[in-house]
Amino acid sequence: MADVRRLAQLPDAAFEEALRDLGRSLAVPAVPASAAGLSAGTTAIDPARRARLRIEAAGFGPARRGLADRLGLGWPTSARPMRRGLVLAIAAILVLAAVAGAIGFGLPGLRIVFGPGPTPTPVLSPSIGAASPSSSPAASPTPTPTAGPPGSTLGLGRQVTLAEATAQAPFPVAVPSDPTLGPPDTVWIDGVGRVTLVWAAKPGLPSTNEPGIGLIVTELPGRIEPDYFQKLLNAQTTIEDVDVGGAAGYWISGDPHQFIYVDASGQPVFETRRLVGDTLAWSVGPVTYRLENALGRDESIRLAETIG
Amino acid sequence: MAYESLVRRYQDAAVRTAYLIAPDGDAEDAVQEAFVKAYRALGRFRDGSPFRPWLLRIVANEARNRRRSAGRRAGLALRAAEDRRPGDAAPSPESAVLDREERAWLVGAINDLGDADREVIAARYFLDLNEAETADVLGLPRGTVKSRLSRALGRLRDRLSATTEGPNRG
Repeated sequence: MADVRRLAQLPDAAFEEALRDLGRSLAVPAVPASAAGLSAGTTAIDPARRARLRIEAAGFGPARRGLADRLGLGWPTSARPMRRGLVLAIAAILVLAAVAGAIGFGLPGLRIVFGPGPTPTPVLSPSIGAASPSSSPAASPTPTPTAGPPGSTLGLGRQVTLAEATAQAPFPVAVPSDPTLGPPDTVWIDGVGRVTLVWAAKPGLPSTNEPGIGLIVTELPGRIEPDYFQKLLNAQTTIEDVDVGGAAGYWISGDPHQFIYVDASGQPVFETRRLVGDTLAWSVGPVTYRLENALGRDESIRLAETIG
Repeated sequence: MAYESLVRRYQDAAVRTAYLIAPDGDAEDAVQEAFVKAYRALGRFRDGSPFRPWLLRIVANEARNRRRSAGRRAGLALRAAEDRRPGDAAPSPESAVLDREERAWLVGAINDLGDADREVIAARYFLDLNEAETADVLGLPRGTVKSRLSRALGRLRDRLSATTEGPNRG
């Protein structure tokens, strides 16, 4: 038997080294498999794996990859299952994202992520949406189920007039010029300069996932960066490269998703509002535009091209 | 950067930290809660300060909060693989390389230390944090780390000197 009391007599440096060595021999709970196994392949991802995929896919570096590759996230059979606890943590984070304020943080890396959206969660901020009821459209053809003006439950910021938004936004606010659409029913601006135009649903403008809301146009002081473009797939969410009046755009349809863009200072910003429908997003210079509606891809692009 | 990618990047370190700071607690639950709390607090994290110690401090706090009562303490343990390792040659008296039996003794002696001693040893040697990082993660003034570590090592040596029985494997 070794004389373990020799350990007590080890010189300080050796004693410390022995402790470091011991640290490498300690049993520590297993952690999930690395992201290395993620590869292109099938798009069929069973629901149990999706939460894990969100984590795995986020492990991608910013290397440029074809969009199709990103759409076809396969699943390595050798990977161990994600541990439930961390999956739950991610789920909790996504739910939090739906109610938290806009969050940006200064770390290099991914520039844009369309991730699976949180389940619909009430927007909790009491300061949002209660202002200026007088500008509510008096005769919205499809009354919203809530008491406030269209968009008031979405946490879009302060309700303002179009002129006020134009004066306050850090970029020129543009409105679709399609004559059948008319002016927005409500206009909102938030603390980071995001402007949102909301149209109530009406004949020819069907309701989105948000009852009574037909179209939302969001204008963000920031850009999406296709070089760092990343799709965190929900099995039912698809993304497609489209052309919007000569600008590179993305048509995102299917399940709700989250949206991240890069603000003017280069900080990635989480969009925390749940999106209400299929989405068309594109950037022109320092401004990103986003349309949410239930009109479908082609009509969305046509509408988008009237913005200017 | 998506928050998920931060979780990805740091979950190993977080689980390791939670477990080594409080091996008798629920490390996984601590890590889950820590990531959620860190997410909520991200607004305060814009100034380019290092993310890792900030996160690990939250993890360490959560891990401590989940520490079970002393009676149910499991303590640190060697990896199972260690038990299958063929016996090493007897180490020379001043070698820092420990054989399996010595490791088991050392783990047992560390498990017998108080929480404060164990924490500082774990942070400094098992998590390989420097003194400043140890202070950050444990939420201690920097000067305290040095003195606490010194006392903890002294008590650990005392226990090893007093050892007359086999290693405590429980």
